[in-house]
Amino acid sequence: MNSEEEFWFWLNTIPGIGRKTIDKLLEQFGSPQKVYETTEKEWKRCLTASQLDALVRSRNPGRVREQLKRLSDRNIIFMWQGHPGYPKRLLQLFDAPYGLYLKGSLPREKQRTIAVVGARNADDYGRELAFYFSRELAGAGIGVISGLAYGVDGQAHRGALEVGGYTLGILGSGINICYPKENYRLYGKLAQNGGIMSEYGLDIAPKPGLFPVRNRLIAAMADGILVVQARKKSGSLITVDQGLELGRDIFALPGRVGDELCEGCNQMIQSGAKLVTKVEDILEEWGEISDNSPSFQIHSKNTLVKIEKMVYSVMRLEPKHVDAILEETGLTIAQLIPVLMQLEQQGYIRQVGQNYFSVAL
Amino acid sequence: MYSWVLSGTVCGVEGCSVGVEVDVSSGLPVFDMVGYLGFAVRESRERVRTALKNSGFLLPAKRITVNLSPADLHKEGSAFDLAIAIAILVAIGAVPQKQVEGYLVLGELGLNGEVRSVNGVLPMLSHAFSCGISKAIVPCSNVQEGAVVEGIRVYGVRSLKEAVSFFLAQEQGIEEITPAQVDVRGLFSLERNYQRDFSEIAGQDFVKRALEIAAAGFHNILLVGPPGAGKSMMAQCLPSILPGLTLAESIELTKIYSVRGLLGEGESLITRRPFRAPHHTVSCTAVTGGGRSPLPGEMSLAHKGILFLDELPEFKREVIEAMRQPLEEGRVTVSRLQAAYTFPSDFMLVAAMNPCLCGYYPDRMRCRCSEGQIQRYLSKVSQPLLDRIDLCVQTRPVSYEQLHSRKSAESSQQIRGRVTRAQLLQRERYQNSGIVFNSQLSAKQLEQFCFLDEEGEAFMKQAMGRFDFSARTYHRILRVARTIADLAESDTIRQSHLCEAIAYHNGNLKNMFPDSE
Repeated sequence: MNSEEEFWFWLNTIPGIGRKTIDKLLEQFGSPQKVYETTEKEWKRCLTASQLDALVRSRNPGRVREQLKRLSDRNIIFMWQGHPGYPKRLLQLFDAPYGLYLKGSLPREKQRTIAVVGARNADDYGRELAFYFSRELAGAGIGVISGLAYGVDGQAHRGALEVGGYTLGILGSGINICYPKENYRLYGKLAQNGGIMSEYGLDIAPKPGLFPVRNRLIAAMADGILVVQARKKSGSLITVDQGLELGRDIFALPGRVGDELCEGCNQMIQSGAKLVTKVEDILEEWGEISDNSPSFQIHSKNTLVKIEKMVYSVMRLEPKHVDAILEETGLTIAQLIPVLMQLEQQGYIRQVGQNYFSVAL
Repeated sequence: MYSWVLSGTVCGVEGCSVGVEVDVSSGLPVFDMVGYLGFAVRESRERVRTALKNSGFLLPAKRITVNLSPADLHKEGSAFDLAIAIAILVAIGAVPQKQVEGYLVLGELGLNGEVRSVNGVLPMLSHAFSCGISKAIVPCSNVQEGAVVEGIRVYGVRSLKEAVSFFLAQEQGIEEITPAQVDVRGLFSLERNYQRDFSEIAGQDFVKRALEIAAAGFHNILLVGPPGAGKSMMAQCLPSILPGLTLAESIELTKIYSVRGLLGEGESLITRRPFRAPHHTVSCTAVTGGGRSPLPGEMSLAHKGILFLDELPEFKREVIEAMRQPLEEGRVTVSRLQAAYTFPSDFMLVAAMNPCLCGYYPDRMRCRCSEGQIQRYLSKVSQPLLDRIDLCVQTRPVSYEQLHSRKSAESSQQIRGRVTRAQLLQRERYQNSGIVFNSQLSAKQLEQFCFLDEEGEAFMKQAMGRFDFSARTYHRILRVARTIADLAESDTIRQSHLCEAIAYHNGNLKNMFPDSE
């Protein structure tokens, strides 16, 4: 073993050796290479018996090279704190990861980024807004960061991908593990058009404890955090707490009083997060509004004919059943259906599930 | 002395003739029965002997041999009892052989000599009629059923004694029992009272409309919705908007019920379309039909009517897959080593399911299922089955306002009027093409019968591109659009008909979360 990469990788992938122990070893010996080259006797002074055993057994150059090869076969880059690619923003963390895995690319160092986070079982309203905000922000050149989970996370990535913007997924599992597995297509798209990052190496299974730890990376990588829908005890609140410690801007979408899904958001607004109702609210904060930023108008009704206008005017972000639309407009089924199809085709509304329609942003 | 009496049995849902031969000759007193007999038939020996004794006939101490022919046909059931008893009486000279000739004799005997009802009277009698038999003795409780076969004089008897005295009286030219009569026309013109009526259902206009279309074209339909939104109730309303059965359909259906013994006492014909709702724990055989001598299952009991599957994802996979072929062909074939039995099973499939495990999606205030759970739940519905379901609608929870709205809903009778007209149009159109309903149109027939106007054609071309329809989906949409056009009494299929048909296709069901698998 002779490269810095190999030594750092070795130190990061010893089973049973965690962050604290690495801290101790580095403090004692200086660098991973020095740790590696030290004799067992000296190790003994700062390690328990089982840790010592693990360290001794891991000192196998063949294994390290083989694992690094597996990484490069999968187009995964391993980075340590001295690596030129290592994102500087993470160094603001007192517990910045010693090792980091990346598939795809990172946001440019100067690029503004926003973390879009929220409930996994968000409703269609939350999903639509997560998609919309991410799409518009990504369109304005802002990188969208999220956690590749169900609900808001997935929609955030999808929104950014739709306009070809940059988006980064930070995992709470091994870099090659797609969790939840239903999102594997999204995982593939991110690896290709954006980036996937994790501080865990190959084949590490997702565990509940890993996700809150992962959230600090989301907070650190982003300049601002937008919370779309969050319950009172939501993982998103951990991200926000971390973000506050790092001095990130916090944005939240307001929810109705009594709506459990938005209680967390409302609470955050109460304690100082910026209430956001349109994309400009975020861009303005960063002074990013310029002539070439996209127009955020929700679809203009001017091009619609009268009956379409009427139908569109009763549509909301919450999905509405055809029956409800029938009742509110007083149209017959034969009149209404062609109008809905027309509006859907023009991108004004979208069908959610079977026979439910909502406004498309 | 040798004697011979005609009786019958059923194979599948068709009757077949069985001859009962008896020989009484000197020898050790033995009562022997041969002819590939099932248990119930073998036990008939004891019933017959005791019934004869209790009816006042003395069996001579001779060798009695009974043979049921053809001897290679497996015989089951208790319908031979009466014929065996009569044949013995003929053999010992109590009844002249001449008097029983030309009669089909059916009935089970009680130990006291009473004649009890049997299954399958209608198929046996209609088979006998086709073989040139014109008179039949059946149990009194089956007489209404038998009388449906026009051209056969059906006499109902209550006891063995009555049957014997009928034959003896006939010798003197007296007809002791009048043959039963059924006013078939009258049965069909009876005003039917349905369990449920669409006027009971508040709101849900869209679902009602879909059900109307389904009824008009006999399309299969899937209802998706939260618990308590009225899915089952609306499905139960369906029979009330279906036009009545024709006589031929009714006889075909009654045969099935007769074989299964599901006709009510004194019921002669089933004039109502059946509504069958098997529980989701139902076994595959119970659905397809089966058993050693196969009997028709739920799919056949729903023939010309509705098979309602509530909680579709909970049904066993094999049950669902077994429905695929019958759904296409309108009949189900049960194969046994000796023979294959074909049961008619031309039913309309109505299925209901929740959108997710808890049932409340997309209402996230109540549903906390994860996307993965929802996808997994939906994926339990077999895609090949979905491909055979033309319409799919989601119901919504009913609000208080809807429950108490003053607006009165349309009654089933009004809807049935429209459905009947649409079905008449279809009957006319498909007169010589071997089908009756739009749902049966093959791809080739679609070309022949479904004309789009210019606008419609352009629209469909565009829609194909946008929604990425498969050829199969395209055909399904055309079939439904044809029915919608029929309901509007329009010859050509217009754009608005196509629009509506697309709104009902089930492409969106498994697509609740785009991009996830």
